[in-house]
Amino acid sequence: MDSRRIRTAAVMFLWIALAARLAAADPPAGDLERTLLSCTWSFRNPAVKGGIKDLRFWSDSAATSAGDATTIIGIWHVTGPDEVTILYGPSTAIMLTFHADREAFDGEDGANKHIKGRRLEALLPKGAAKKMQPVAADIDSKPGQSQIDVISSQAASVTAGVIVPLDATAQDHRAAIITLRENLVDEAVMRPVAPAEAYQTATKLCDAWLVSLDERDKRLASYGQTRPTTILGYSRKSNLQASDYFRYLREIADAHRKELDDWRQAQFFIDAQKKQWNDRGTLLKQGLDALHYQVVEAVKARANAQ
Amino acid sequence: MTPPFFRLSTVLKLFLLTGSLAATVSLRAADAEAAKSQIDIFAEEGPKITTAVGAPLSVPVADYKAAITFMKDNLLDEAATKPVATQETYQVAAKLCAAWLSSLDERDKRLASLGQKGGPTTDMSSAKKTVLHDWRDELNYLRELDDERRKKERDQQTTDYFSDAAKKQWTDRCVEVRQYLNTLYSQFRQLRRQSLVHATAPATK
Repeated sequence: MDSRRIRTAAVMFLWIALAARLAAADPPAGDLERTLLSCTWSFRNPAVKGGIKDLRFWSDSAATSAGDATTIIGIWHVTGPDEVTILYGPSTAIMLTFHADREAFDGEDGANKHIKGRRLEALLPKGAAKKMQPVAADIDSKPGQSQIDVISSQAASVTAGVIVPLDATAQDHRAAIITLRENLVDEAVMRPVAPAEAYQTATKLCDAWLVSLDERDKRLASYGQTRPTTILGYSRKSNLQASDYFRYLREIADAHRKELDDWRQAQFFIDAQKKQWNDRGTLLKQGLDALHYQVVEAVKARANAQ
Repeated sequence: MTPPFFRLSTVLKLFLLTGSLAATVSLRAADAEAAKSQIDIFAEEGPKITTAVGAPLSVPVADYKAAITFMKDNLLDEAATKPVATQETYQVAAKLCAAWLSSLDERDKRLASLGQKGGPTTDMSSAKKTVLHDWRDELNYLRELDDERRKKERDQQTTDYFSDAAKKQWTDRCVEVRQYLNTLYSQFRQLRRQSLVHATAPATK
């Protein structure tokens, strides 16, 4: 009778402990998880000479060295509001306790309680591209300067601001270009200081800048767009026993390889998009420079004739 | 002539209603009111408003709506009381104001649905397939946590994917919208130019 009571009490205790662990791991985990995944971490364990110096946490549960994403050094899980456990063997684990500001952690590995680490460089989310939106810019001009002189002197810098790599900040001269184009037509009609041909070419150059800016905007909008990845969903397929650590490790390694593949594939397309724009930019720049050259030549020819 | 205190109160109201950037346009409009005609202010500010209207969805834009409405009404006032250009010029300017407002409405609609995602779903499949007994099942439990995290990440990727698609759709739409707005602005400048040429022609004769 007594033994049955003890057994019932033990089972209840186990359930309560498991429920408490579930409750502790779930709600605050999101914040800690995001912090873990968003950057790399330094790792200092005085007990191990020549061990790893830094850590990177992956969303597939793999913990690797920041410099070598292919070698898994353990499997991490959030096991408390500020606590992360890294399993690195069937019955060995490192427990990391993060400070409230999430800038550093203290760790322990059994009796060794001298492990420390802190936040290092920020990481872009997997497959994300560094997208820099263009910033508004004006075209410099001096008071009393004719519009054709403004375009002759500033065209090179406007072109340089438009044909910029997708991961750098472009100068959005759109408003200034539209105003300049209309001012050029005004000047051509009312008080021309250069041949009509120069004004026509200058207007064409303004239109070409606007088209180039539109093209860059379109490419920037689709730059770094990645499709959602698939998940492997192991937990629905089989049961694991306590002794199945290595089987579990193999699953994590599979998931990690898949994540690395997805990441590399996304990176490949990001690089391809960057390269395509660079190639296209070179062509566009040639066209813009040719138009600029024509404007300058027309203005010079008029000046020489006078 | 509008009394100065009235202009100041209108500008202040606009500042409170629409934020500093939009109010700057009104402030400039009010400051320059005495010296410049509404047509001149419109010619100067037009391309800036077109650029702001066509900004990507991820770039925050001040609410220009009140400033545009204010500018449109001022143009109509000027057309009725002391026109400095032909009626057609004012009509095209008013049409451009209406086009800006409708583009801003379209932008607002798209912005409202940006980042929208379906309700969160809980993956209970693991609980249905496997039974956790005690600490011997710890690996099973950890594996369920892994799957849950990956599912969350996949859900986030899906949301990001659709947000990116919505942003791209707006960028594509902007190219068309901008062309239309620029055409209207060019028309306006052409008509203004004609008015200026007509105005200066008798003086030169």
